[in-house]
Amino acid sequence: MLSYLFSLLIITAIWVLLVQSYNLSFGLTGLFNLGHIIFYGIGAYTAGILNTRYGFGFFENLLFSALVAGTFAAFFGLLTLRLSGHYLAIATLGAAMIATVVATNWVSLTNGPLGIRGIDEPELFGQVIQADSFGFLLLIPGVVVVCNILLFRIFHSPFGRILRSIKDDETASRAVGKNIFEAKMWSLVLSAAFAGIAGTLYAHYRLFLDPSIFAIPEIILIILMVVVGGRGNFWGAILGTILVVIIGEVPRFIGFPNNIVGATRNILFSALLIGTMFLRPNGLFTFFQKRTE
Amino acid sequence: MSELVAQLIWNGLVTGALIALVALGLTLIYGVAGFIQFAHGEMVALGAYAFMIFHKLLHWEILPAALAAVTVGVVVGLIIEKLFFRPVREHDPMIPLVLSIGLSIGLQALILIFFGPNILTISDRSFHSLSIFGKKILATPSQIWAIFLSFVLMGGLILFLKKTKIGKYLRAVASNRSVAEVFGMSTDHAMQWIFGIGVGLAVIAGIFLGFEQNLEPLMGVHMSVKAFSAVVLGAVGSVRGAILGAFLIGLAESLLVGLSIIPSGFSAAIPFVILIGMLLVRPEGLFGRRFENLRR
Repeated sequence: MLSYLFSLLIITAIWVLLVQSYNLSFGLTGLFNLGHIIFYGIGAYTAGILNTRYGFGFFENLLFSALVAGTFAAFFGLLTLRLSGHYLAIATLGAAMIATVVATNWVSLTNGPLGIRGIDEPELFGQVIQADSFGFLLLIPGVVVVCNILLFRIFHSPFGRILRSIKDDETASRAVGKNIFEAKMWSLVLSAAFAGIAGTLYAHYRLFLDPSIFAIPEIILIILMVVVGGRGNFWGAILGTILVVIIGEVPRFIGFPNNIVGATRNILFSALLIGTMFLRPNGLFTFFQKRTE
Repeated sequence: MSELVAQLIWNGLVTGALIALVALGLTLIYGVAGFIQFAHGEMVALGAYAFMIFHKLLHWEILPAALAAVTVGVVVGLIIEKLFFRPVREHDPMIPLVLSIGLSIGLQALILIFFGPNILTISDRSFHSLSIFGKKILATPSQIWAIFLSFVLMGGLILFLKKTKIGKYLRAVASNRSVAEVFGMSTDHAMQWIFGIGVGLAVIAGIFLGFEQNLEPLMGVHMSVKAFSAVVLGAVGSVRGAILGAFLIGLAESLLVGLSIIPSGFSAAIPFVILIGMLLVRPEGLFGRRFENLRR
């Protein structure tokens, strides 16, 4: 039971970072990028490959996977940011499909469907921090908190307000002389970098990676978490993530037969998503926010 | 042209015809309602499973079973429109889109609970040898029907939208909903028509797909992501564009993999590589400029 709670806590922390990074591009800037999971996967694979082949440690990987995911996002942005609305959604969904195919078939890089095994556990001051130790419980949430503080600063900076203005009215924002493309690009790159960090955390926690990290259900889950919490709402994304994780664990405790636990969970998620869209399309946690409009 | 190429073109045409049926519904819904219906793939699965129930479990003949499945599909389409999409129609298009994602995972889960994860089949897969332009190709009766029927339906749909009173009314609502309402055309009615037609076409595609492959809860998703690409390829909201995009994807997939130009592991990526390439060269789609005013 304790180890179950422990892993739930770690996983929730990683989700919080991934969802908050998505909240920056999707929630705040309004980029309907359905391929955000690519950046997470690239971060995880970067960490896995650098660690197993070149012996890079946890902290170096945090930096390098953020760099790789961010650089990739810059190219991704050059290709897709010219598109708007639904076109962007379909193109990025397609990109996520391509990512799965590449991760499965580029065997020399990713080891294909067998995945990458034997990633090292994080090491701090020459001391290995094992995945079930108390140190781990400080390390992962610690990284997540630091990243969230940075993200909070971005959300509430003048730059964050430009991003919000793009979502609300792109034309007006352009009219007052803001460089929309540049702002969108930075939003995407920063969002990808944080997603890459989340991927590293995942890689060094699970110690195993395979192409299923890019799967569609994962994309739907992060959309669900952002939307339930409220698009562009910093605290909403965190609360939304926690709520969705808790709801996702419910079927396990009610005692459904094992083969339909996953399906029951998806029905709960579906109801949550549809209910949110009907009752509070701006997220369940909008009532914590001051009314500004 | 060797027989292999002829066979591959035939397979590509079959896939293209099925994608086209799904893509038509998507593009109509986008054109009139203004959002991408992510649960459209589940309508394909619904068609396959409904047909399987009528044909395999209740032992009806193929034609009555297919008609019953289409009826079920149309009714489900009308109900979904009324219950889920009508209340959020006037919101930001993001909201019906996210809602349809929710609907999609919910329906998938329901299929999984009712039918289990086991793989079910409809057909016994008897192949006929068919000779076209002196080339021998293998085709199943259902494939021949799929090609024939999809061409009839596509032609019928284009004529319906062009010539009939209801078709003109649907195009009016698509081009400007509020002006159409001023002229006394009910948006509610238009949505019902569009969802009825769209889901009906998806169900027909699902029935044929059930003959082509095994039934599994995710069968619709694979189909709908290809149909999304076809729709965007042809220009969102355009009927002819969606048809052209669908056949392009079907043929490209079949030929590129069949002639081993691309390793078969990469086949799932082909529609999207074409799509992204297309968006770079001509973001408005193949029929973009001409249909620009369909919906903005």
